[in-house]
Formats: sequence, C-alpha cells, structure tokens
Amino acid sequence: MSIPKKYRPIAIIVLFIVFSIILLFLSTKMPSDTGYPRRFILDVVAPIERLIRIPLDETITVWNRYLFLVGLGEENRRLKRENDQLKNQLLLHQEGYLEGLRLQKLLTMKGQSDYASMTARVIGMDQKSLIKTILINKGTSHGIRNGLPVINEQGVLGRIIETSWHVSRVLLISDGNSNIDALVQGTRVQGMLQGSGAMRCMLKYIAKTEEVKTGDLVVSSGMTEIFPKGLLLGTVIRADKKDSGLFQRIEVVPAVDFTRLEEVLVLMVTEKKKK
Amino acid sequence: MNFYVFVPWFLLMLVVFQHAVLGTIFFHSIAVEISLVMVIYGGLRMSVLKGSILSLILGLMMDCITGVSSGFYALIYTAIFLMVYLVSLHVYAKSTPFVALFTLCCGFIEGIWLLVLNQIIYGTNIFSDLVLYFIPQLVIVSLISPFLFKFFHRIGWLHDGYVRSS
Repeated sequence: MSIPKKYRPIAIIVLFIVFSIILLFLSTKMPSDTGYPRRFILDVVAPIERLIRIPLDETITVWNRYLFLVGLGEENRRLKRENDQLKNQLLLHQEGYLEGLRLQKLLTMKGQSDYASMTARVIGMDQKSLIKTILINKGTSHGIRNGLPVINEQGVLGRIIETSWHVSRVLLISDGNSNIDALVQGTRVQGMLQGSGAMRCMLKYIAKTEEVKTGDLVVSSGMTEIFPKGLLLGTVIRADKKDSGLFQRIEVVPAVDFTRLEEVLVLMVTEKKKK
Repeated sequence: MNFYVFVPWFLLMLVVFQHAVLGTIFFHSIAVEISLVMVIYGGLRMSVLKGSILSLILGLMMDCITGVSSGFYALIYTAIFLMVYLVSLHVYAKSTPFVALFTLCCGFIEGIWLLVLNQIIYGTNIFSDLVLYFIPQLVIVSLISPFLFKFFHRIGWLHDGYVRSS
C-alpha cells in the first residue's frame, strides 16, 4: 500500500506524532530509571548551563547590588529626612510638654491665690536698657491696667507700668525705679525692696539692730494695695552692718530668674476671686 | 547532510540558551520559548521531513531540560508543526505582522496542549499558572519572532539551501 504523494508530507508528520504519543505513553505508564538519551542530554546541558550561568549570575548579582546601593542611598536620604522631621516634631512635643508643666504651675498658683489672675505670654524683654522691663501679650482689652502685680511660679516679677490694647509693659523688681514694701520672712522686719540693676535688689531701711542673715526670704508685706501680702520677692545674699549710717546694707537676689521668662500671671488685685 | 550533523547540537545550544540565559535574564519568572518559534519556522520554511525531525528533537530536548515525561513536548511540538504546515499551504506567510500574530496563535494552542496534557498525565490544573506566566511569555515571544525568523533564515545549513516558499 502506497500513500499518495500529495499526503506524504502529512503522513511523515503524523508518523512523528504517533512516535511521540507512544513515547509519552511508555514513559508515563512504565516509569523506569532515566534513559540514556536523557542522561546524555542532562550531562551535556548541566556544565554548559553552569558555564553560562556563572558570568550571568555574577553580572546580575553586581547589578542587583548596584540597584540595592542606589535604593539604599535613596532610602538613606528618605530616612534622614524623616529623622529631621521627627526631631522637629519631638522638639515641638517637648516644648509643648514643658509649656504644659509651666502652665500647670501657674494654674496651681492661680488656684491658690485669693485674687483673680490672668495668664500672659512674655513677648519681649528689655533688660539691658536703663529701664528693665518685659512685654506681655495682654493689654487693656483683657482687663489689664497699670500697677497690677505680675508673678510667676518662682515669685514676683514686677508690676505693670504701661498698657496698650493688647500689650503691656512690666517693670521688673530689679529695676532701680521699682520699690516694694517687703518684710524678712523669719524676723518679720519691714523694709523697702528697691531694684539696683544687674539682677539684684537692695532691702532698705532695716535698722542695724535687726537681725537679718544670708538666706532669709524676703516677701511682700502687703502694706500697699499693689502687691498682696506674702508673695516671694527674693533671698538675702548679703547683710552688712559695717556701713556708716543707721541702716544695714542688705543685698537681695530676686526669686525670679528674669532670663528665663515665658509665661506669667497678672494678679487682678482689685478683683477678689468669686468662690 | 550538514543539517543532520549540525542540527542536534544547534538545537541543544538553543535549548540551553533558552533555559539558562533567557531564564536567568528574566529571573526564571518568564520562559521565553524561542524553541516554539523554531518549530513554527520549521513549519513555514523548511522541508517537511527536516522540519518534523527538528520538531521532534527539539521536543525531546525540552522534555529532558524541563523534566517532564519523554514525549510530552515532543508531541506538542510535532502537533504544532503539523498545524503550521497545514496553514502554510494556504497562506502567504512572509510578512512580519503575520509571523508575530501567527506565533501568538501557536503559543495559545501550545498553552491549550499544555493544559490538557498536564490534566491527563499529571492530573494537575495549571490554568492559573498559564494565565500568570504563559501569556506574558507569549507576547514577548510573538514580538521577537520576526527577528528570530530572520536569524534562522541566515543559518544556511538549517535548510541546506532549500527554503520553502509558502
């Protein structure tokens, strides 16, 4: 039986297909050890593949490392940016926390005081000029007027000497123009605390017969209407009786650190707190 | 005569190149099956006997390389070769778009064969794998097939000077 010439090509292909089917059938239905042709091809292929792969893998590894380094640089920059942002945020939070602590102290004072008070923020300092003052962000529109005492959690700062609608100027107790009726807490001796500049005050008009020693606390006497009684003014750092004259020379350091002022409390001394 | 001497080695190199080099370049996620293009080229340009032998050898080598049962790829490739041969009798198969499109179609048919044979022989459904890996691979293969055709055409001993015109 001969196949017509027209169909011979197809017959050849079909023959190959049949061969493939038989091969597939045999290899699936009768699994045996790997045949020699397969072994030969695997043995030939494996070293060639390894030879090709070594430089390729190396190239790819180098490329991946390069990409990794590029990515690393970018990541490093991003992390640095994030770090800076976080540092700023942390700083803000710390500031907020410290402000909260300060305000908490002020509020505690506010609660303890018999007078109504108003919290104000220090917006300017002028302690190097002739008149030692600070500016606060509250003015007449908030009820502030001249003469009101200004304190913080450490003690007395001074009193209002000038007001506008939204800003007031506070004369510090260290200024030479500041005079406050004071008394030494231990001995109850009364005198006048006068500013002497350079962050110092002098307690005047204390007779040499009175006993005042270093470390004694000086508080407001409440004799005038301006400062309520018992507010801490400062601490005696030197008491000298050797001067010729009737009175002692008593040097007082103010209780308040004027270089670190941020929030203050203005006592509305004419308004008693409603309880 | 050159054909029978060189072709087994050439096909071996082709399969190794496809598996090792292209596999590594594409991180073994996509197998660029230039052996399929070789089979299609055989079906369109080579004599029936040589093309059939080429398809069978290529299929057997693919079986060895991929680790499937002997005859798996051999059957797929010879069947595709038959289909390509039958098509080549009726169409003009020299334009570049036709080659690319026809390769794409053959690739789909190969995919169906793979799906069916896997189900029959191994009882596994590889449909999801086919969709994930096979289709991108098909697109790449079909795009490069015209260039591969030109390359195969330049290898004189592949068809011993005889090029079948469709």
